[in-house]
Amino acid sequence: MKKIVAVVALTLIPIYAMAAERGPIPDVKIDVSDEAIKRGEEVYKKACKVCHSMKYLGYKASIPAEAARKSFGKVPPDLSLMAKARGKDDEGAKYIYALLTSYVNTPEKNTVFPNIAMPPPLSKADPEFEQKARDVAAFLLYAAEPTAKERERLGRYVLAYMVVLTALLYALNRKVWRGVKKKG
Amino acid sequence: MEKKGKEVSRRDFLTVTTSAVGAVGIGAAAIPFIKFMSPSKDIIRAGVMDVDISGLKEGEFKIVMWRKQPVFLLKRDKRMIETAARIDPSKLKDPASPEERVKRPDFLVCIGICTHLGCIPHFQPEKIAPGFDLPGFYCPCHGGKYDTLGRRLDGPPPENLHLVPYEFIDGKKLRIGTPEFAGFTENIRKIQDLPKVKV
Amino acid sequence: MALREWIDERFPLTEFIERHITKYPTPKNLNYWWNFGSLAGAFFAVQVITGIWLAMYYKPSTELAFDSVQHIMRDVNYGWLIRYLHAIGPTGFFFAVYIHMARGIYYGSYKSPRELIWWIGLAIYLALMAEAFMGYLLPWGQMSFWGATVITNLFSAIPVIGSKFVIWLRGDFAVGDPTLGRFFSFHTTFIPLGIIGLLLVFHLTALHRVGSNNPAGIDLDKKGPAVVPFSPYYVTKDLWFISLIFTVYLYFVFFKPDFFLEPINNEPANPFATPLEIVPEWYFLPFYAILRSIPSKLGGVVAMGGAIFILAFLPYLDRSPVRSARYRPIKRVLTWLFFLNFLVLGYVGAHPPFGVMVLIGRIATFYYFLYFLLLLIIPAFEKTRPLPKEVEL
Ligand code: HEM
Ligand code: FES
Repeated sequence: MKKIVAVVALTLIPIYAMAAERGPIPDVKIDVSDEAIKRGEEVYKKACKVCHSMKYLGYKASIPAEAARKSFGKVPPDLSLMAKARGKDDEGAKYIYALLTSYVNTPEKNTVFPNIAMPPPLSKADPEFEQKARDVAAFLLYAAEPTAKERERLGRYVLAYMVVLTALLYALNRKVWRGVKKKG
Repeated sequence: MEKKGKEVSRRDFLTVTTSAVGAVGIGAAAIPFIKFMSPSKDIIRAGVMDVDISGLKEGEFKIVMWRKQPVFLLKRDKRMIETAARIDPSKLKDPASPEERVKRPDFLVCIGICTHLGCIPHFQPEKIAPGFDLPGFYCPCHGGKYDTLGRRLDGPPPENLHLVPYEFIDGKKLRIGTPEFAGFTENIRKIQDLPKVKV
Repeated sequence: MALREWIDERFPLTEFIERHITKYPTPKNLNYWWNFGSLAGAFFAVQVITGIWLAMYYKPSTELAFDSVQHIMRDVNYGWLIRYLHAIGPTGFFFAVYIHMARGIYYGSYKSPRELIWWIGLAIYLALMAEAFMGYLLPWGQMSFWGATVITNLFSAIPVIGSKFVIWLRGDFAVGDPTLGRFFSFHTTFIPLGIIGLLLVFHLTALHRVGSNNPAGIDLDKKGPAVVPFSPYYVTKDLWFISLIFTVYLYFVFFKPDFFLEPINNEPANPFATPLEIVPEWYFLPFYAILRSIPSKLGGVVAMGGAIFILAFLPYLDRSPVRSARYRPIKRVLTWLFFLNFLVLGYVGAHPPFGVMVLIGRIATFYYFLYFLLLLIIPAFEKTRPLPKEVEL
């Protein structure tokens, strides 16, 4: 048993070394409840959909891409996968929250992303400003992987099963080897 | 000796349990691979389709594609309704009354696949074929004949044209299908027994 | 049973099963480092099966590839599961293969009479790298595109024909639709089944001719008390260990699928904009570090290729008659350092090549090659410990 622990530990160390490497991510909790996602979808439709499509959800941008290019110098990107393209797990959603809340009003400038071509989509004057930024981040996170909840639900059963199977196979292996002479 | 016997049965018990648990796991693991091959969610979603019927005139016939299957839409005129009503349902091979075939007497919606071998029957507004002096559908492949309610009158087809769930939306639009309804393979005989379409 | 006999008269089924599975004589003193070969085989099976399933919906064209992967993720039943299994599987596969190879280096498994097993193994490793590299282009994300661009450009370092060769490899003047098509074809048929699958059969056939090495590194009597039949002893030992590692694998598949995947690959390939940082998959990092440590295009490519090919010369570089590093105090220390050094190279490969990283990278690259030179020299003065007469559990 000691040997097995050693084998597993030695082989897992590099994995943990990798995990330790993450950039700075704003410390905000993204509520991913169904209500937050629903509210976030409304925020998207009101504040983002003008320029940004979400093609895997069937949303088209309200203004044509060329018109957007003329005013901002770039075609605003599709947002379907944005939350997954900007970070692992919910880091992308936190990134989106940080981006939306880092505009200073006069002159319009983003403190965290100074070169961004996008004008502030949410108004700081709005009493629900922070909430809206969080909700739309939650919605984008959901949209990037709508099957995530199904995945975690199924995962619990699969892992529970694997633990039982592994324990049984381990016990069987112990039994099988019990009679084998130490020397030979 | 007795101890040894116990050892053996213990290992057997463990072997059997482990094998059984392993087999259950392999079986369960096969499920995603099997379901992967059945229609995906976008195909399922495409099972509900809206058609604009406001332009359809009296006696006009139209075929729309739903779930890659032809669906017949026929705005039935007086002659069509009357000639079909004269037929005695009990004399038919696949008996069905007009009320069991359509929601509204002036409108037929059914799957346009011949129940013999799958051809698409032709609409005949005057007479189906020589000797059949009423409007209906004629299948060119082996001479199947159906009335304007899609009921089989003659020829090799064993059944009436199959029905599909539908609902009229404020008289202008027709909604066809449900996410679960497969289409031709289902063959539900009475319109009343079809799954409800959500409007 | 009658059926068995009927077949056996016409095809050596029972003989085959007994010889290669049930009765195959296996040293009874194998430790857990001998478990990683079967583990790699299990991951291979997962890749092949999930790959065949993915290919049912995946579309190898630059117009459709990205969308088709999203279709698999969103609309196909359990598509997300099959895709994550396939995308994270290579991590498990390489993890198993690297430890499997390290085991071979430490215990001298490459030495006579197992040179051919070692070479076939290296060929599998090379094919596996090609397989993973080509597969990575298929989702047609930003990292797919730029990774393939950079790696195919490596071949432009070849003198004279280099740049023509790259064009031929890509079938276009940049990575494009023809590249995607050929990568898909190779990735789904020829490499996994025609090369890796076939080589696996050869690998095992050669192994079963000479028998497994063991931690003591001594030759064993195949009929003596030092061996046990493969079944049930190593069937249960392999199965339980595979089950253990698959539990970890499935944890990542179900709960942390992003962990091993690059976020920027969720953006469709854009030939006009290189991402801020290009990092290969973790399993290529050590060699990537070697590539970057040599400040010359051709030199870097040669060093990287050489780092892999030098492994093939191990049977001839290391002339000590003792196989296992257990009984070779100097090789033992040098080898552990070599493994540590490999991890350091991986760490360097994951970081931008600035400042101290460059220096560490160069030192580590130097030691990587030095190790082989030292292996050649040390038998001259290394005092090996006495080998055991019999094996112990
Ligand atoms: C040695 C075995 C294999 C390895 C190491 C391997 C590796 C990979 C990798 C790294 C990817 C990219 C994953 C991603 O980010 O999505 C991939 C994609 C893919 N592979 Fe494989 N693969 C193997 C065998 C196969 C086989 C046998 C097939 C089919 C017969 C296959 C079909 C595919 C397809 C269709 C994709 C694109 C879909 C996707 O990106 O998820 N693979 N493979
Ligand atoms: S297919 Fe229509 S009658 Fe044969």
